[in-house]
Amino acid sequence: MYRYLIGLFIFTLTVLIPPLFSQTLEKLQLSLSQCETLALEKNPLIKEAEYEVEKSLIQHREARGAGFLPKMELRNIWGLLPRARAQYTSTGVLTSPDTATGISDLRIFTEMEFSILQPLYTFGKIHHLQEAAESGIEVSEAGVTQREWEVRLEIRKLYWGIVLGKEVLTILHDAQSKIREAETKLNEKLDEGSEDVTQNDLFKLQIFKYEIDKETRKIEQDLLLGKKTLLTALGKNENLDFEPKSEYLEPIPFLPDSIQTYFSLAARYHPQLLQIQAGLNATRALVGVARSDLYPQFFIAGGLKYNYAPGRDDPRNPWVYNPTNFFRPGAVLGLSLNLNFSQTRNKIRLAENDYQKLSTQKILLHHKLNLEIQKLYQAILTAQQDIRESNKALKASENWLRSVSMSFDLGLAEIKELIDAYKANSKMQVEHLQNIYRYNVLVAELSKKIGYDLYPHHSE
Amino acid sequence: MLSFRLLTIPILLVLTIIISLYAQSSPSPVELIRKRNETIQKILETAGETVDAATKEKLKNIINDLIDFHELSRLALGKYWKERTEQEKKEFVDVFRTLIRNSSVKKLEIYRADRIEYLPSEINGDKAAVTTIAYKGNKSVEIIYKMHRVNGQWKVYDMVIDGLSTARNYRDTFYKQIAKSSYQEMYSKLKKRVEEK
Repeated sequence: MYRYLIGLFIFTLTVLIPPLFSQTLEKLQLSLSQCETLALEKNPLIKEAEYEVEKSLIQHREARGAGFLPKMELRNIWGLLPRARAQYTSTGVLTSPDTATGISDLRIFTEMEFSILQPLYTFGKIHHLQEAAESGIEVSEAGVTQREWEVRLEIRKLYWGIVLGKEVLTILHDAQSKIREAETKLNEKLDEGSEDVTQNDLFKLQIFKYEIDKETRKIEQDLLLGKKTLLTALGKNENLDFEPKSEYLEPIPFLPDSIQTYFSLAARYHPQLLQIQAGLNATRALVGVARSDLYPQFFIAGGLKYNYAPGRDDPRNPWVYNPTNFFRPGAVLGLSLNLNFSQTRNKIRLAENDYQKLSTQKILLHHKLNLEIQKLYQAILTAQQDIRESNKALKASENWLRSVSMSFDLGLAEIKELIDAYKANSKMQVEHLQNIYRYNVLVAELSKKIGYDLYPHHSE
Repeated sequence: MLSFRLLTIPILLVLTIIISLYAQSSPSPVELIRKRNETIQKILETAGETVDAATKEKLKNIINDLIDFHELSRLALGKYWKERTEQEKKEFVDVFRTLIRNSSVKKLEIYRADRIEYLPSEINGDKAAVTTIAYKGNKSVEIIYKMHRVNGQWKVYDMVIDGLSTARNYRDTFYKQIAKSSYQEMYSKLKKRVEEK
């Protein structure tokens, strides 16, 4: 009986207890670069843009094929034809014994036709078509890069948001524990009948406690939502417990260069600019295609046609056309030209119009980008200054708290002074962290704006 | 006369050697601070998160052994120091020492740093300043130990924590209290605080 009970106990421990523990959330700890890699792999918007690249690659292959035998056709048919034997009478009259068309008179025939067409000289049409297709690839590739930047920025905002949330929660939890301590001390002093404190101090503390508790609840909810959003973006189960590898929120190591550097980087790397430039190249090529229609398109065409119909004789009579039993090879040299020049000119004007429109768009985008870069650059410089200043203010708040704590320990400071100093220190800690978060996001935004990563590689 | 002159040079030489050997044998200010901090860190490592009363008592001695409470009291009372009788001075130093010793074990986090950097001490005659930077996570705290030599021993008379001078801070508090009431009343408050503990 005793052994049976021990067995049951071990069974309970080994079989029933583990599932209870397994209900705790599985942890997923990732660095920022790991998050970015995962998100770039899984994002459906990037996948969609990649399909566009595939499509333009196919179109490019098609354009390349236009230069060599763009038309090469083979046609083969089979069918039934009535038998038609040819007979000449002694007087030379052509007759046939096959006048009836019953089913037994039907015979299978086959006809095969093969034709090819090779352009010889097109006044640049094929070359321009190929150029347009090549630019089409660049346009769609820049589309992928643009989507990648959008994803990267989103992930960075979420990641740093989570690190910020975690740090702020630590400050708030610390404040909650300090408030509890202060509340106990205050109550003790009030019970002792101390003259240093009044009930109003307790009420003030309770209001402060309410503010801290409310803020804690808000941050906890935001943090949970941020983690779920990030996990979804990473293609992971949103019920996992995400843990950023960065323990502290620290400013991205980045030394701003001159503004001109970022203008040049944007001109070289910004995906939308690259996209519009590739679009310009494509439309310029399409103008060339339209212009080539003003000139004749020279080509060589060839082919052969073969027909075999058993049971149908060749009457060998030049006055009688026989559509069966023949073999006709042939090759021709030709040209084609649309003589409606007004229509062709309109097509050219339309293509030129597209080109001009895109050129204007490029200038507009360039100006807009430079303005946005300037705005972000200034914001980064301000954010850097804010971090320096808030760090100084944070140190000052720490010194204030330290100073009041020293006096309080000697019994020469009131608890409300300590609370005020603590409040100011907590506020400065949060403000300093918010400045760092804003700075990190701004550097990420500038990276996206210029299309060049200003984040150090493998930033944790 | 000549023989006396001839003797002075070797005597001076021997004296110089003896003095330099003595100076070398007593630990430098930075070594004193380093040794003290390392001892505290070791005790805290063994104690873990919660420090019991016995360990706290041990720590109180180690932390405060290097402090010259007489000098710290003199600096903290400032202009009011001279106005005190010898008896009052003694009583003040005793009370002040007890209060500082008590509060010194309340903030042990500073000794739980991941790493402490010790900068070379600046020695100027009988005065020295040792700068340490304690790193914990992504935060750092700079402490300057202001020291002077008392009976051949280096003692700390002020600590400047991230720009906040302990002596000056106490002086501000005492001045404010005395201006509000009197020295006697302030002293009573300090005494009362000691009794509360």
